[in-house]
Amino acid sequence: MEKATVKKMVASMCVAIVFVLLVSGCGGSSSKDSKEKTAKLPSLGKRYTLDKAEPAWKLDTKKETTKLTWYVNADWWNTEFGTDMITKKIKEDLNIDIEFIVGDDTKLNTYFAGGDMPDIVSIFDSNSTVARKANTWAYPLQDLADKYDPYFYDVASKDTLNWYKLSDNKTYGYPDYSNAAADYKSGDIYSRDAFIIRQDVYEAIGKPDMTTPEGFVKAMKLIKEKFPDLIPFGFNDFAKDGSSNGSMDGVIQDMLGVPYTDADGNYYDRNVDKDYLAWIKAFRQVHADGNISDDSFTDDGDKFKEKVSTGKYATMMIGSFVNQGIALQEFATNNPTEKYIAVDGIQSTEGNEATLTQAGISGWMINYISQQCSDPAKAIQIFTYLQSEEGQMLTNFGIEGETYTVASDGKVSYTADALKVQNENPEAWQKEYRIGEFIQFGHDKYKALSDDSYVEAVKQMQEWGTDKLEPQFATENIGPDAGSQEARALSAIQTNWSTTLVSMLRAKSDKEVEQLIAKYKKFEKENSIQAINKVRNEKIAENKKKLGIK
Amino acid sequence: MKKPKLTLSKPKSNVVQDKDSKLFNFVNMLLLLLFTLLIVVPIWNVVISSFASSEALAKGDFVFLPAELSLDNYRSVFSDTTIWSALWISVSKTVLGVLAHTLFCAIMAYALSKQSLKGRPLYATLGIITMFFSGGMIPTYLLIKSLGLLNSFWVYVLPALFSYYDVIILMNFFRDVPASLEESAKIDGASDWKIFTRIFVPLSKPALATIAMYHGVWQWNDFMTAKLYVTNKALYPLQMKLYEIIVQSQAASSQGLTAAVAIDTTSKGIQLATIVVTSVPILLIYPLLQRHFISGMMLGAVKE
Amino acid sequence: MVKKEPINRRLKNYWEKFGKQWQLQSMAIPGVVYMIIFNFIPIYGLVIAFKNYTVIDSIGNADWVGWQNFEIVMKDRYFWQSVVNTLAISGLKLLFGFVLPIIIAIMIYELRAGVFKRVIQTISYLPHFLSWIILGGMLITWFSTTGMINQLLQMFGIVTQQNHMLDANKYWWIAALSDVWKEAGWGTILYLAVMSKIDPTYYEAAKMDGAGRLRQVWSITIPMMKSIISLNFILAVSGLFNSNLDQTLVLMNSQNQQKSEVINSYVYRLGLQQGDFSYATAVGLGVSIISVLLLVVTNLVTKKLNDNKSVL
Repeated sequence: MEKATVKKMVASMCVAIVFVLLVSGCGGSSSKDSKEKTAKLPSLGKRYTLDKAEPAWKLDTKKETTKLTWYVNADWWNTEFGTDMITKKIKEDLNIDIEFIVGDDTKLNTYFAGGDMPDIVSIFDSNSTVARKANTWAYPLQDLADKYDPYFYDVASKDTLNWYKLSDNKTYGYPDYSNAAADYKSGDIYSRDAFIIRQDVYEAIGKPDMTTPEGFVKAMKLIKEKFPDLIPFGFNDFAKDGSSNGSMDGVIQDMLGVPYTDADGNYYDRNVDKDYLAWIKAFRQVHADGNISDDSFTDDGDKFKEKVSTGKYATMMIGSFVNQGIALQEFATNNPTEKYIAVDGIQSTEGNEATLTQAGISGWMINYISQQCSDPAKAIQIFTYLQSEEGQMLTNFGIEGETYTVASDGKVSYTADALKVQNENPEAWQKEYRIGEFIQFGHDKYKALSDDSYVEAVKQMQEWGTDKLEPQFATENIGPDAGSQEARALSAIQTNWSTTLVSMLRAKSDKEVEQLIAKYKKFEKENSIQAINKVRNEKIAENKKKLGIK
Repeated sequence: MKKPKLTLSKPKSNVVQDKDSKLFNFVNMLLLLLFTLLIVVPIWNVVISSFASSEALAKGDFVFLPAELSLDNYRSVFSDTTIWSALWISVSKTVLGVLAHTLFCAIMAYALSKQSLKGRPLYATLGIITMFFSGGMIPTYLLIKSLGLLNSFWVYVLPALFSYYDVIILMNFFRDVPASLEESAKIDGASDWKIFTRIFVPLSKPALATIAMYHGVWQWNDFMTAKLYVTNKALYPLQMKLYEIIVQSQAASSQGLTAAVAIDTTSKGIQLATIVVTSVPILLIYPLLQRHFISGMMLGAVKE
Repeated sequence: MVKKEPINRRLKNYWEKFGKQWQLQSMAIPGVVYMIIFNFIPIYGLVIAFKNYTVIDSIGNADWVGWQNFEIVMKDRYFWQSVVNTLAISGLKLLFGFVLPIIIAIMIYELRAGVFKRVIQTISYLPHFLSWIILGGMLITWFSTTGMINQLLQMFGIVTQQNHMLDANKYWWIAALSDVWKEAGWGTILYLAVMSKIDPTYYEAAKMDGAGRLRQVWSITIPMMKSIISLNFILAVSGLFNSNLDQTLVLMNSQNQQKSEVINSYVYRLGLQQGDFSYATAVGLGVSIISVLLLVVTNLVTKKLNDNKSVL
């Protein structure tokens, strides 16, 4: 362009733009497939005849190994298949070979856009477009079960199938860890949040009452005096982008039993609850006394784990202690007299009972069989297999006789050999056995069969939480559709809330807290909270209909 | 830079000049030492942390030397036997990628360095557009797919063959090659290709080394290509291992919150050890190329 | 100006010349073909900026929505906040990050060849190899209440228990300076390559004239690097609207967000994390267009300083 005049440059730019448009025109028009397509299910032919009492994987006569691709929307998923005890057994039983592919939404999108979907897809967000429009790309599980494997109905939870029904009354995805109301009552599933304190600290300060805001503030001061090296109060790490606030909003609100819906059954804004704000002021005082470290707001998950495993915090409002199980156990093993225990603390000022939550009916990872699945019969067989007693025992405990035994009362315990590997060589445990890790269809009720399913350090905490669990299914999945104006506004509100919350905790005075919360309320109003709540209320009503609650 | 000094360095006697020069050298050295120190301390902290035992790391109360050193982190990095094949992939894609990229860009840069080239404004405009506009991940994926590059080793080399930024840099270097050399070659009847290979390439070694360096480091560090286009693990480069390890500790903790599932994450020590292991091979490239950056003498001699 | 010739004549002339330089053309055209295949064919993907495109769509079948995505972007005040932050951080990076590599390169160049020179050169580019995930984690530790920074401040008698990462007012500086730290050494490579071409006889001549070392730097080294400096300047200015996503994602927290949210991170959160690809593409397209405009303008300006020669 050295001697090129501006004129020449403009001209060549024009040529280039025309050229680009031409090229893009050609490319853009290439893929024009219809939007709503329902694939027809291939016929079974002579492979096997259906038997309601027998899972189809036992009947299938297909000789050659079925190769399937299974996409998991998480980069951290272990993609090995057939190299460890559990997946080797699955491979043999079902005569399949699975290639796991991992990635994020963008990667998933390349499959949709490219038109070649993996055979099975697991995603995590039941609010996402992928889940809500599953009927455009996945097979309905009912159709698959009717045609290939009616035994599926015997192993799948009716409540869960019903919950994931889309508007056409069919279910496309099936989640793991989906807990129905009955599961909450059974006592097989445990709570996961608790207020915990180091045992030595608890005793040294004379087991004071920490259930009221005043008592809490005082106790923290006491800890500071007696244990100047410890940080009196800690909590889970905050997400950097404000998408989650550790254990300082939802979890605290659960501890206080702040309701999810108001008296009329409408969405209730728990963040501005009076009871909750009374405690926020207490935490503010604790922070002002120097008993909450500012670092707790910037630590990431790794840092939090490090502090847990070295006992840096005297007390913690811990959310998902099973997630922190390894760190908690590490500290307990190294310091048996100082281990963390759950105690009563942080209770409602209005006399409400704690309403702790666990994975709800939406579960966690949701599994789909795509319409491009090369062998949908095999795929539904896998779903059935993994949910059946047989598959659950395998994925949770391994192979009977080799890694576990069942006592006459039904209690499962690991064999001495297996325990040895678990304790002495955790890496081999993970790589060679993969017990409790192949969890696309996992469920806590199987974990409850064994005393070894959870690390020792959390058992007291689970016990503390007995009878405190309360299902909140009606308010699950009530977020506005992705990409809608409401979703955008909600995202802005959530970000603002995160800032507001931390600012309140770090505020200089209670008055400042009041001002901050007033500002937050104003912000909500400016960002169409009314429209968002309308969507939420509609979805709550829909949920209730599904659940059969009036 | 300190401007007042400029007046001080006005011609005086030789003695003063030497003094001035000595002072200059001293200040220069001192500032550079300070700069180096600023870099070495944090880097040292990373490297030594990778040798720290997990207890020492959890306490995190050291900057220079942890209470306890251990090779455990490295042991567990190397216990993964696939690391060697990943290293082989990384080395071959970097070597091949660098050679092909540098040559391809240099050829085009040579042509574009000539003002007389017909269509040059158009070519340059197209090039500049590529620097700023990209169709995004999805169409690129579809293109790669239709070219049959998915799950192929060549996906590391071909889509990265060209960068207009590198062309511009080379072009500017080529323009500085004395015109007299080219003219005399032309009189001897040399073709453009010959002039390029016989005169421009040898004379532009520092520039070619720079581009090779830039691209080599990019190739080495790139894991996105593997992440997007390769599912065959046998084709994973070393950096993909690092990515897997780091992302495991990040995402697993955030996505794991819903269910009461304990997901084991990789310890910080292993992360750091992996970083050291994956960085050391490429760090050797600079000392290897370094002599090309200090080859001013040779060039000066040719220039006449 | 050349006198007007008939158009067909001019065309014929043009193609004649084109044919004569077939060797040169054979060197340029493979690159052009490459660009067409790898860069221009996929460019049709930009149409999703004008569509309502979600994760389960293919580019062809998404619904057209015209300028709607752009309107949403324009009306979004958080987007504008992220623009302000982006410009502030990029501005600081330009201010320090642009000059520092030049200075350091000159300083290294001025060293006598030897072990020290080689070692410094090698060390200076080490930080480039630290990924932001790791470096960010380290920065957070250093800026924490008991971190290295506070310990250093203590040595100077400033006792503070502050976590600096929570102080929104410091964020721009932290982001800019940590980036400069990471990339300054790496940035010297290009300059060192250019300087290696400088004819040593120039310096000898200058010495004869009695020019001091600084004088030599000022009147030989810098002018010799003029074109590469202006090239980097043009690219740096056109990159003003770009921001470092990886860095932002690790250093951001709820307290500094209003100062740390940059265009990339905002688009990432709103666009990609929530599956709103159209929004992300619309912003990307806008940024690209502005960047090209900046490039053209800076190119015109630097041309004036560069003996009316463009470096592009």
